[in-house]
Amino acid sequence: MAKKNAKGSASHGSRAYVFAAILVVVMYIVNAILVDRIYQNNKRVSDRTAETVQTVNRISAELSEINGEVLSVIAGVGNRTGHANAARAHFSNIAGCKEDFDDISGTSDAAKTRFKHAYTIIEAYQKQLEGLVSQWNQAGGGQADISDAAFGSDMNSMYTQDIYPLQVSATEMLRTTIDIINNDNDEDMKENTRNTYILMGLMLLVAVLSEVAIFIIARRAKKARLELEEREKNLREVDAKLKSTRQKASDLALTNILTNMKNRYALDNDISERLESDRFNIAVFDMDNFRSINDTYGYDFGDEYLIAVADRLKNDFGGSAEIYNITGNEFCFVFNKEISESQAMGIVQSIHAVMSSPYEVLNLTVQLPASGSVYHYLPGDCLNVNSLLVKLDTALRNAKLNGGNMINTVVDI
Amino acid sequence: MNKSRRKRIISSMALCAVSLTTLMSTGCGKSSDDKYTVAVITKQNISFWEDVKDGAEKAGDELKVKILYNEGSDNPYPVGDNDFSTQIEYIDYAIKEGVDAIVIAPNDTEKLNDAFARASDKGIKIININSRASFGGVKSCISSSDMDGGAVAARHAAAAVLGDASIRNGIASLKAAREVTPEVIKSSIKKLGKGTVGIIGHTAATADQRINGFKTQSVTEIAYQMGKDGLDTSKLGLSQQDTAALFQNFFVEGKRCGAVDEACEEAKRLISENPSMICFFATNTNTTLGVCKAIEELGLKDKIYVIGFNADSAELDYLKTSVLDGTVVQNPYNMGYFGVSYAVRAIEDTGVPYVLDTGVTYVTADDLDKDYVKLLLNPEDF
Repeated sequence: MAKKNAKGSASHGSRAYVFAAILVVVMYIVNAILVDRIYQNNKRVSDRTAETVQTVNRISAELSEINGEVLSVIAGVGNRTGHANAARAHFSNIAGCKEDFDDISGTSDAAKTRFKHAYTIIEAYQKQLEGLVSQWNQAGGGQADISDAAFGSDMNSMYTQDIYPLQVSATEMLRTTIDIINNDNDEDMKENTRNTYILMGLMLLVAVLSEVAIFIIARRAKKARLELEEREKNLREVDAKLKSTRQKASDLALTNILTNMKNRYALDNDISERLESDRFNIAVFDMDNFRSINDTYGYDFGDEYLIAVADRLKNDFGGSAEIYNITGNEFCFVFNKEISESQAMGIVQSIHAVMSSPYEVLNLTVQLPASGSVYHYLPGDCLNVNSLLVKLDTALRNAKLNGGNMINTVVDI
Repeated sequence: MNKSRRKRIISSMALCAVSLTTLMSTGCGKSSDDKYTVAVITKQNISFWEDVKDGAEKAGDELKVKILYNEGSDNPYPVGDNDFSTQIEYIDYAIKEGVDAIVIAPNDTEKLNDAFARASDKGIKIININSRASFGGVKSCISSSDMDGGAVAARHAAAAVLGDASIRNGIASLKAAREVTPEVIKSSIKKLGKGTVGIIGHTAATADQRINGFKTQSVTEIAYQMGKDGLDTSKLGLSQQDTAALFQNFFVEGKRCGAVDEACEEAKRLISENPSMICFFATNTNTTLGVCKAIEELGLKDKIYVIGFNADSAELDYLKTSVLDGTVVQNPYNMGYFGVSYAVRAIEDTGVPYVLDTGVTYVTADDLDKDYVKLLLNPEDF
């Protein structure tokens, strides 16, 4: 369960990195879109301002041209009708410019109002001039030239009193329109700049927050990884202990705890598979009347006696035979393959001598006679270890029935 | 990480976010939208100056200028056209407030100069409207020419006077004389149209110029008409002054009046003393209202052609009822608007014309529906 939780945390950690990466990509895309939008806005504002200012300036230039035509008339230069027609053409151009101005979208209300005022003055200016032309035609009786000095003198008054103020007012109003447009442009640009700063600030904030979030998540992921490693280490230790315990249990199952020799099950494991194919020498020994020791000195003393015997047997014969303590004081010797039958018989005699010799146990010297049986086993003699031992035990029992302290050989029947 | 620590971090982040956003939204510039402060100083409380104020405030809105209008005195307006003392208080207050420019309609050509010098020393730009003071640091003057205002009135008055039967008959009888010698013409002109045109001027200096313009243009118009009728005065070998002197009997001028009732009484006096009067010229709003009141009370609206000045709502009412036949309308709204607009240009040193003539327009009842006249009379609604 703990492992699962740790894995879950680690998974959350990696997900955080993926999320952070996606966030950064999204941030950059959004940033690119917004920066492009700001750029387009600035461009649109600049283009609009340039177009509007250009249109208004064109009107001012046309007004200046018209004023030139009027002054030419007053100064008596050129043909009156020609000047009048030229002025009409300029007014027509102004009307075209007005349409251009009206078509420009995004112009502020203030600029539109100022332009409307200017254009109304221009219309009044045009009407004044048309009135003048009409009056001129009446006074001049259709004359094409401008030789009427008296009318010319009156023209001066009309120009300064009725015409020039309209022309100059319209021109100044147009200039103020441009001032407003430029102001609007500055305002729009300023707003765009402010938006840029806000955007950059927000992006910075998101980046900082993302970094902080990634830092926190990374710390949590690191902590989870360390916990996982600690748990894995503990688990390895537990596993090792478990294996050791199992080995011990397994060893205990095949070992006699008292003498630390292999037991009856170990014998079974070791030679079962050899019964069908091998020939070997095997012998079984036990002390005659061992029970009298237990009865006389107690089980603890008996155990110590057995340990002493076992140690002596392992020491003296461990090199030529595998020794098993198959029951209480019964020892089984499976001689090595290289030990011949005659050699085995010699060793058996030695075993008998060792087991029957006196032992110093808990400051007492004890000695019991021992009996044994020996079997020169041939392949296929027995079906299993049990029947093998029955044969050996039968021979051993016969030895004991015949007085003990002897070695009996298993004769195959 | 325990809960309280996490809370602290989240709170700090939120605070940072709010601070950053606030910084970004309020920073990067001045907190106020206004680029400059301009003091606008006008004259007494009549609609003409209210229009100037409207124009100035409109320009203030459009060009991001804070307007201080007649601020800095216990008097909300100068008491009269000669009250320069109140205007000096306004100027000193503007200096104290650190304005960038002063737009002023001076009530005296000389007596404000010291105050202008104090302002100018602080780098404050001076723009005049309506009339120009003699102070050399005045950057520009936006006004309509008072001479031209009088002249425009005269051209329309001439049409009325020359259309009158007695005047036409007088000219015709001169022309019919078998031997028209210069002496005969001179003598006849002196008799012709005596007391035909009444004039009442207001008390400010502008009245002199308007009256002068009116008289000069009237003489030109009448002489021109006589010339067309075969009685060319230029052939008499007279100078322009002599010619003007010949026509002096045409005009009868009352005393200068400041108030409506005063002008009314003076108009009544002139009318009673000049029974052949067929035209009246008044030089400002109050004198126009006074003359109209007299004409209305005397029941002479069909006999006497009245030409006034400006377009107060009461004057427009007289125009609609034909008591007032025509009025010379200045452009006070544009005066205020361009005053502030020029102030900004002077502050930014982008150049202003030395003079701007906003012009005058002769308006009759028939003209009230015309776009340009609507723009003149109600610029805020146009």
